[in-house]
Amino acid sequence: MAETRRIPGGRRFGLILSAAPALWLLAFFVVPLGILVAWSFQPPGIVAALRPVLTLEAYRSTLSAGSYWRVLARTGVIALTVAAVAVALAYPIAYALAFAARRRRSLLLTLALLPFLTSYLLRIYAWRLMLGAKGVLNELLQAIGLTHGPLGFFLYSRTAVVLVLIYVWVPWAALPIFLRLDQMDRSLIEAADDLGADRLRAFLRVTLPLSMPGVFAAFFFVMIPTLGDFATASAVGGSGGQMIGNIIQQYLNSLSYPSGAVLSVLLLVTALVAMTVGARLSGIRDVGDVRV
Amino acid sequence: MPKVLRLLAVLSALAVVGAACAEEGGGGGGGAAPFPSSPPAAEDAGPLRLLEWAGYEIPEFHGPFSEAYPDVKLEYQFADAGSSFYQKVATGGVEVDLAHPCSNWVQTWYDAGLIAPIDVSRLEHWSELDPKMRELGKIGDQYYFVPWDWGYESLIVNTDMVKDVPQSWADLWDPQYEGLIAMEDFSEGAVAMTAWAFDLPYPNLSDEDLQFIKDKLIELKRNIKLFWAGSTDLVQAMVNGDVAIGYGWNDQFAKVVDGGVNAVYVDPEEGRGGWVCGFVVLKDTPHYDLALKYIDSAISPEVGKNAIDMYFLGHSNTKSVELADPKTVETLGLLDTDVQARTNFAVPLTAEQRDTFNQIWSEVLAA
Repeated sequence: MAETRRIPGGRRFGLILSAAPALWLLAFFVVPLGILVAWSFQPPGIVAALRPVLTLEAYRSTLSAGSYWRVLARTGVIALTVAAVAVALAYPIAYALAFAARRRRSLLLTLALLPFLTSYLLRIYAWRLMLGAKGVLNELLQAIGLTHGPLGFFLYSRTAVVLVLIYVWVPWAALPIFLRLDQMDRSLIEAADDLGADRLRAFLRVTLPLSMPGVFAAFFFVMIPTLGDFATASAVGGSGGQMIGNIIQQYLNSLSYPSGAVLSVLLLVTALVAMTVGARLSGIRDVGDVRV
Repeated sequence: MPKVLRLLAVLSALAVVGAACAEEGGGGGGGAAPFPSSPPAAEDAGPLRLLEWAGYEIPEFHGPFSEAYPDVKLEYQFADAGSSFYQKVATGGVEVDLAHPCSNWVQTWYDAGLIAPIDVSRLEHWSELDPKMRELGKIGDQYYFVPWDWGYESLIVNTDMVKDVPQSWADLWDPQYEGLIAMEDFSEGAVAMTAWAFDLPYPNLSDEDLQFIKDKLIELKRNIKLFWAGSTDLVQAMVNGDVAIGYGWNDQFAKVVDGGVNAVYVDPEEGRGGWVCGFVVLKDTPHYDLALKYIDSAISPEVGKNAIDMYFLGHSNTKSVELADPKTVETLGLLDTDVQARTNFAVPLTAEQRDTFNQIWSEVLAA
């Protein structure tokens, strides 16, 4: 493990380099975030512009609705499921890229990222053609005689949301794991082999533990944006698959900004708590521990 | 004769004084708001600025106006939902002379002090408009909204998938329709439909009524498969057989039938719902008379014919259907005066009512 060594003049150069992105983040992230929080302290209702009042009324009226806590819990379960499955599916891909692909590696990496050339929304809509009553999946099941009529739960359901989100995120999840595996010192595996460990044992005792920071990074890469997703749920989620992002969108569309802002703050806090707990559990103390 | 003229002169002078007094009363109820002053259309070079729905800027929708005022430029801005029409104007984001919101928003525009009363005596075609739709925009003694396009909101039912076609809004709660319904993601529509089904006085609902409606809608979720937001989403879901019953518009019904589905458009016992959109004139317009001329052109039967034939819309001028393609008129159910008379056209809501309905709907979506 290499010590982080100080570079002469590195501090000043670093500050200069980071000035532009810092200003950018300040203008387009920190300030809007502040505006969002300010909206959450406005009286609830349809309001055209911020007024100089400060009240907790929107918090009271919004957080007292039990259904919002349920939809938050449902969103959390969906995000955890999607992140866990996406990482599990991404790991073999990353492993193959790092250890098996050799010369074809850049081709395979390109192929894995190819779907991103198509718009996200378009790909979600394409899933409707796959999962619908007259979709590819149902036709296939009927053709091979497994079912006798179309199954309705593939599309417009929580299952559909989870399925589509996993599909969307697997290639992303593979990247941090791949980078971690790729940077691994291979002589460690050779050493394990020399010391009599079989392949499985070497994987479980050496490769997997060393790649865990990549796995955790991939997990949060997927989980955090999934918590706030609404496009997928609104396209394939149906009445049972609505996520908290859809409720926020409903509020913003109807110009009820204060209540929408309250739910956004709630979502933000949830994500922060999830990340803190995750970092604690995974033993990540420093961003340097997460190599992506 | 001169005597009569003199009498008339005195009377009109009195009327002017009376109007001026009313004006000084300053909107304190009762008094009629003045019509904005502007040069007569013939002397006004424009340009006329409109806030429209995308696709409504086509020449077929303003033929007579462009013929009469060929030098006036029409400048369009666009919005895509009732809320964004309001937001764009209320926040000062766009400055226009005319806008095209729907009847349910008129009260909100009025309460925000954005719109001017419309001098309907200057509209040649006003008397030809559907009387029921005309009244939707009447606040006090004045009209603030001229209806232009309209459509039904009812149930599109796939008769191959559903044996017992629902005959009323209340039937939707029948367990036999479990997972078969597509509902519009639209708070006002959902609340109105439930109010009609259980005979509650929409939109003036008590707290108990609202709680009851919320519970009923949450209960209905068992039967609802999906919420549609874009018009084609419903058509697609029905054509693909993902749902059997759709809460939708008559133009969507026409498209579903076009897609090869054996479907009927229900005429519920409580009456269909109906949406009506139209024109409001902004208070600060310097082109008031010109704006009225534009409206008069839009509500002419020849423009109405295009609205029906090209966009499958209903048109507020009752004479439009006579010019339009009979087959389209038939499919859209535009001539069915019986049905139309029983239709619950969307009444203007106050901001508070809309906000309450949105709150209910958000909780229903989340439940």
